[in-house]
Amino acid sequence: MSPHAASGPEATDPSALTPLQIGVSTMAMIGVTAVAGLPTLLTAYAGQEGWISALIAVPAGLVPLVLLYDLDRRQPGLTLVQHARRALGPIGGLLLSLPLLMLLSSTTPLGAHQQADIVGMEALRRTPTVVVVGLFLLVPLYAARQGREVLARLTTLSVAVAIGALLLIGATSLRSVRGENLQPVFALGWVPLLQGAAPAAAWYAETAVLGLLLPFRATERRAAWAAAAAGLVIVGLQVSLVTAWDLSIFGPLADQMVFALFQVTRVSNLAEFLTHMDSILIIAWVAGEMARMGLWLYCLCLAFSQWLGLRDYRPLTLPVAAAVAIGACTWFQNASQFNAWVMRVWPFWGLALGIGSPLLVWLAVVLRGTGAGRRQARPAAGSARAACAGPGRT
Amino acid sequence: MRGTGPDMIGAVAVFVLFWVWERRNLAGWSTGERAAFWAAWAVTLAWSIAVEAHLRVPTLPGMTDHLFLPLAHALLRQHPDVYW
Repeated sequence: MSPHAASGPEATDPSALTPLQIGVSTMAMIGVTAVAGLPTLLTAYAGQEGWISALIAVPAGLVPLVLLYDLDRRQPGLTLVQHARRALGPIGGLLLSLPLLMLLSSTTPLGAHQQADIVGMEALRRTPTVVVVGLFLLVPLYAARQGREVLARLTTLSVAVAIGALLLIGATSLRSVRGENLQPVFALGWVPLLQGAAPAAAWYAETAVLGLLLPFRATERRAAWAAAAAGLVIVGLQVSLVTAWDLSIFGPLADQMVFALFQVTRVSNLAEFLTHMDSILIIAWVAGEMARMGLWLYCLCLAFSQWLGLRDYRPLTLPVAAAVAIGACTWFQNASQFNAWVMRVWPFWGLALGIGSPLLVWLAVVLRGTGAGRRQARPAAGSARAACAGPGRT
Repeated sequence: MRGTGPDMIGAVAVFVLFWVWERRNLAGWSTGERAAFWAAWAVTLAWSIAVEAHLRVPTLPGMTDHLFLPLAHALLRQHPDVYW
């Protein structure tokens, strides 16, 4: 399998990702947690203008994509970790890949914790967190071991279900919407808007993780990156719309609700006949979270395997999943501490790692230069093509 | 070591079960992959036992709060008029 096959439209790698799969993977990896957790943060900082902050922050997610695009243009078919190893060698590559590994290692348990909080608050109130986290990791773990093609297909289905559920809930809660709750606009100036945009920007900057998926594209580079950018923009619009919806229904109470979208389901009904839409949202949520967690687990294991120079990532899936469960269950004492950390610390942590990880690798590649020998070099033994194309090694 | 109990026994049991699950694959992996597998298991098992024994282990907020909370206090102080 040629390492440069992905640069042409004809893809012979059956596990290569189509633009649609790349787009929905982007939406799943970022949007599932963003739609749940961001509205509260946006309204806490920017009040009734929180929906504007969600849009202002979108360019922060495009920065990693631009850097990844240029990296792929210089040396196609390599993941971010492989770019780091190629630029600075095994030891230097180890250090250069640390920001990406820190981003993956911290964000994967954070997402699992958020999922456990949602399910624990809205559905399984008496179930221990470790049981919820453990159960929710089983399907993503299995899917991650099957490879990215299975993950991409799971994601395509899950995202469609999630969007359908959101539309249904939006349509059935339309009667409760009050447009005056969104006014006045730009009354507090730019500072609250930028403050609200900070956590959103950190969330969107998770596109840096696509440096472990985009090299496996089935089409030309522009189509793949355009799909990723489109996925990010759709996520931004979704977060903005959900935030505006929460504000228009709950007004000043929107920032007091931890997961406002789930509270919207309490006021949703169809002709007062179909009620309790929260079960529909939970179903769609779990489906989206399965796909999201599978992608993050896959990227985390793939990054670690390439960091260590392994041929296959599968030996790491079980212990890494166990470590993710431990982190999700032990890092925070309760939901309040978690939400306070996300509100205060995550904007800096996520933004620094999300933009810093591809930026440092890009700088190293640019400064080292891509000479004639390097330009024609094939990926290393632990390459994106050799590692986990499907159930087998290749 | 404090805290030894059903939780710790359960944690070890889970790890043993997963090892039994992976046994079939172990033979087909390279030396490096097996080493990575056992090292990753050792780290996570040690982490789990340390947590169950209520030892002080690093947490994400513990590692980040002292660095970023001052920045948050300076830059992300909520506007007093946000609550209307």
